[in-house]
Amino acid sequence: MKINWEAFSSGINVALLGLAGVFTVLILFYIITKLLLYFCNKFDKENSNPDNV
Amino acid sequence: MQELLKGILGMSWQNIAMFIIAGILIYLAIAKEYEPTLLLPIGFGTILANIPFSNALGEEGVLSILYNAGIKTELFPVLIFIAVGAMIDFGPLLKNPFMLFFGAAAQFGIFATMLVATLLGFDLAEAATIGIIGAADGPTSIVVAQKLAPGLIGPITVAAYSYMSLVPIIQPPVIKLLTTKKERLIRMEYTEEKVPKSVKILFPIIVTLLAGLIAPSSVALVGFLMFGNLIRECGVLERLSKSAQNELANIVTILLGITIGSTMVGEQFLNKRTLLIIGLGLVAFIFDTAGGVIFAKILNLFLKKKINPMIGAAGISAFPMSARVVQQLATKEDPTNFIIAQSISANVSGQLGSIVAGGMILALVPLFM
Repeated sequence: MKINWEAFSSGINVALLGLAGVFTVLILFYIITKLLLYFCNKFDKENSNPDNV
Repeated sequence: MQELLKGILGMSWQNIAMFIIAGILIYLAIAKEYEPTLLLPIGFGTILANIPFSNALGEEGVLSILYNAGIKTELFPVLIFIAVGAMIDFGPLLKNPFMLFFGAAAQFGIFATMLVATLLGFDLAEAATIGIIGAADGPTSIVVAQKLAPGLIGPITVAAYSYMSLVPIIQPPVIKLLTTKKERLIRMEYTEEKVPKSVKILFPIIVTLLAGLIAPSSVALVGFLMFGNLIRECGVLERLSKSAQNELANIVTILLGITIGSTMVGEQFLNKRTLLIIGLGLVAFIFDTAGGVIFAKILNLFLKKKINPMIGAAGISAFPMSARVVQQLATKEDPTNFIIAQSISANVSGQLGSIVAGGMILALVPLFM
């Protein structure tokens, strides 16, 4: 079996960038989800309590 | 007479071997109920494709027409994504968004297996396609295989769906090997956040925009999944949501399965590479599980409230099997320990993570080829 070193070194680049990319996107999803929850819950509370206006 | 015996005389050992493989797939589907909706059509499609002089194949063959129209164009997997999106409830994830990180960590197996495959002589595109079996996500595997290595679509799909159904057998030994009894006994508090309906509606739209802007090659994958989910969550399209979950899912699954089966022609399927691909698929699932568990253990070094590291294993896309496996293991150690809510959240994150990983592979591999 012949090891394709060129493919392996490209594979390392793809693996590092790919895994970093997956984490980056999911961290962004996390931040967005937290923000959505914060603002939507706040908006809901304000709407259900009109005296606060 | 010669014409009548044409089929029998045209039989080769490869045809017979493929009939046996088809029989095994159909047996597993019916007797063991391993992903029957896919393995049965794949098995029968394999029979159709391996009958000598089959008119189901060839330029005007119905299976070739289905392949060209549904797989080559990615139409079938994308339609399946609408159905899957309509079935997914992101609620558990939105209640516990921290679990998103496990959906990322458990994609480790995809990239690790890709590296192992390059060491075994596969080129980068083939290796990435083999790695994507670890996404534990059939439609994503099909889309990536079709784009990067169409010749491998048969074994990749069979491996992906077979191992998904074998999650209850594959994951427990890996989890036990990587965790101590003390770790498996860790209890986790469950604090549920209230999720307003507006969040459930905005989530699929924002995720599509975000994922699309970062990795445009993932738009077809993420976009259609989220479209299906928006239909589900909007609250005014119940009829469409039910159609997507039932009629659309069923029709496309039938066509997808039988068409994938038709790609498993003996002369091309029976070789050493297919065996290697099937073996590497198992490696991918093992690495995924290990990646999730080890990530949880690393987090525990910094967290005050410890996480049960078994949760990490649920970060793969095989839903809800993986979450169930984790809860079963927890119950085995302590029948009063319930971590199913967290496991489900991690498992839903895995569904997102696998699609994002597929998008990353599609975006990155062509740059390095």
